[in-house]
Amino acid sequence: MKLHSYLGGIALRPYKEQSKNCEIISIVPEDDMVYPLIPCEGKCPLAYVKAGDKVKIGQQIAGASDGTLGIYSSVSGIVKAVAKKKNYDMKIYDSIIIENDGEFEEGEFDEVVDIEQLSFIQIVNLLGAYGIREYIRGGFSLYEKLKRIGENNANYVIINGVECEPYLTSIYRRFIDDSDMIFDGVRVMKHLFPKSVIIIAIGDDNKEAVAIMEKKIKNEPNVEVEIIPNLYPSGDCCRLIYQISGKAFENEIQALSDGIICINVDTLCAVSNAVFEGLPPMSRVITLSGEGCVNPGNYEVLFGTSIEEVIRFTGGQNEDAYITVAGGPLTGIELTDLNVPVTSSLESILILSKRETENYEPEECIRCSRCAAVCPNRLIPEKLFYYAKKGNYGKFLKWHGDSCSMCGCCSYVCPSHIPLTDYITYMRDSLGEF
Amino acid sequence: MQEKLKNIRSSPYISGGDTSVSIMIKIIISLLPIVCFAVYKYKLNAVFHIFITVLACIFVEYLFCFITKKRNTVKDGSAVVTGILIALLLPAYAPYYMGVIGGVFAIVVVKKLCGGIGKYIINPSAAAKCFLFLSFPTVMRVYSNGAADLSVKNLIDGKNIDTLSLIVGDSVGSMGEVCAAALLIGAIILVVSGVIDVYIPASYTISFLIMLIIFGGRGFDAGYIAAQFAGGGFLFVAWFIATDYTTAPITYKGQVIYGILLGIFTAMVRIWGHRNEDIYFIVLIVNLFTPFIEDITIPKPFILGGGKNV
Ligand code: SF4
Ligand code: SF4
Repeated sequence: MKLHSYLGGIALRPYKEQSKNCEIISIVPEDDMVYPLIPCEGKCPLAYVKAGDKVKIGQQIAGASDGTLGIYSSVSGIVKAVAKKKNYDMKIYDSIIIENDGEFEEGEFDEVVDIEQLSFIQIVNLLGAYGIREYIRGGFSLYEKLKRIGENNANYVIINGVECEPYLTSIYRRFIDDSDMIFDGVRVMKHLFPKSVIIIAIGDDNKEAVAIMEKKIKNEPNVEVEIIPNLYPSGDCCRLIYQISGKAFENEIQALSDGIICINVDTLCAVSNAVFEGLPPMSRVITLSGEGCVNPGNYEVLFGTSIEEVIRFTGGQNEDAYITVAGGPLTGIELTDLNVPVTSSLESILILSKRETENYEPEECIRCSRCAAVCPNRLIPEKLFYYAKKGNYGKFLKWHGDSCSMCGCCSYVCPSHIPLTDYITYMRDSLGEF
Repeated sequence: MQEKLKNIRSSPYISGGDTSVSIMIKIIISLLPIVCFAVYKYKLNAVFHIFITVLACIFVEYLFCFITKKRNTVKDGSAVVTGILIALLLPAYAPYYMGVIGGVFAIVVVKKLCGGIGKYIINPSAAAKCFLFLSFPTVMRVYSNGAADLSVKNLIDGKNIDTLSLIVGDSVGSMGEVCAAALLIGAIILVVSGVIDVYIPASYTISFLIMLIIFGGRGFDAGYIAAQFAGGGFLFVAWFIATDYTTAPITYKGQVIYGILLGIFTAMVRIWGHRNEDIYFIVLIVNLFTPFIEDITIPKPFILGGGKNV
């Protein structure tokens, strides 16, 4: 298949060597677990348990009123409280706090039904009940996505295994360590959309992953591995859909109506666990990297474990540690408080040294147009910045400020180190009030 | 915690590529062939001119920041670039205080009073050249040691002149304009090091060429066209003046329009004009179009079909 290349984007230094060859290790938490009840598409999960209740692994502790967005305990123990707690993105949610008794006593899991006997709607409902969301920040719930696309309407199912942000290696590792699980996920997708073409997109720096997946799918009709050039932000779903289909969409929801659905590799693993093992999503693989951490690597972390405990478990920080970032280095959030839980949307924890994250004073813009050259949305960030500073909403919209996808490319290249993305994001967010 | 919150940073946490200073250094490096040639040809005159002008620019910039209590902007290096450009636009035999006057005018009036780098509306070096040219017309036209400025005049009159001498730097003109070969080497460095895109110089060159062929009265006369390109500061303007980040449009389409406008006006000056130096006035005039050009060339965003790489 011929890929459509897009204009803009940057070839970043990958920084992946630190954690690339580390096998996935599971972290066993000891401290209290926190499960934030994060709303999704206007629905909010409600707590099914109250303080003092005893819970077991796999027991549902929250869910939305229509039976979707379920949240499942990943440890056994006693519910301490349902209280407001901070999440890593600095927002405060009602959260269920469970005191971990360290027994890891398993509750009852659902019966596994042979996939051939499950209809489209049954699988969708199952995934909805398990509350599987896209394992990326701001991800939609898979239930909504599958429901919107409807049975038999998908032309392309794109499995997003392009890990274009520097440092991140967890998806690469999953291709190597969990390739069976990914392949099972592909089978679920084939069952859901028998007429579609399934495309596994892998970045071109992950040759081993490509080789493994190509071997796996050799005898499968309509499943292809696509090698995506290593450019940031090629792994952004809109860019990925464009490269494969040649159609530009504002977000993945729009693409659904054209029969294109894009699913993350981590999400796919959760789907395969749900369908073939009857396991609700209770953990995810995250990358821990950066010069400031003692043991960089890929770790499987139970949801609810605090980031502080993850870092402690893996050996802590060394004296170079300067800032801790939740997420990738281009779109992540600096953590000021490490006592926040790991959720499905947390891709990585980076402990960066001062050298890696040199903090420059912003200077005056010199209008060098480098920001415009790298913007994958073909905007002129310099102009947007100028109008954002002036608060000129009309001009900001005229220069298409609303289609910025906050990828961070412009801030990355700006020779004057202006936080362009911040200005533009702030302006975008305040557009609603205008 | 409070202390930490104050220092909280937003993504991205890594940055790469050039810094403003490294860009300015690259520009200075690409000016070096021209500077070297000027020093080779005019010896100490060139050394003194460049030295004095650059010092004047740095000092004035510093003084201005000091008096207005603004952040010191000397270290971004733009004053050095402006200084070198102004010096290269001076005739070698002009008095040394010319550079000082030009530098003060460019830095204070054109650059700083308009808001500093990134905000000024006309090119400081070209403005300084025009200012000096209008204020001191006689000394600013003494291009050679007493002799009349023949080849520049010939260029305007369209008579046959020796193209080869223009290329190897044997013609008369401002210090930076005389050697087409040095200018081209500098231009190559600029492009290869990624400082500029070729949109402006390319569209400028092409539109200038077309204008010359149509209206030059000589059709496609290779010698005449080569002389027009090599002499009289065209290359200097096309690669070093017109490509100034601040005064050129930031959109690619806009840069092409800007280049075409420059080409048309420059050809008009060369074909029907009187003085070679008018090319710098042309730059100032076209600079004024920049905000307007930008506003009519807003690129299509990705979702509306922009960004197709064909
Ligand atoms: S990259 Fe920075 S300095 Fe260059 S035009 Fe954009 S905002 Fe201005
Ligand atoms: S953050 Fe927005 S404006 Fe900046 S490069 Fe990305 S899409 Fe373009």
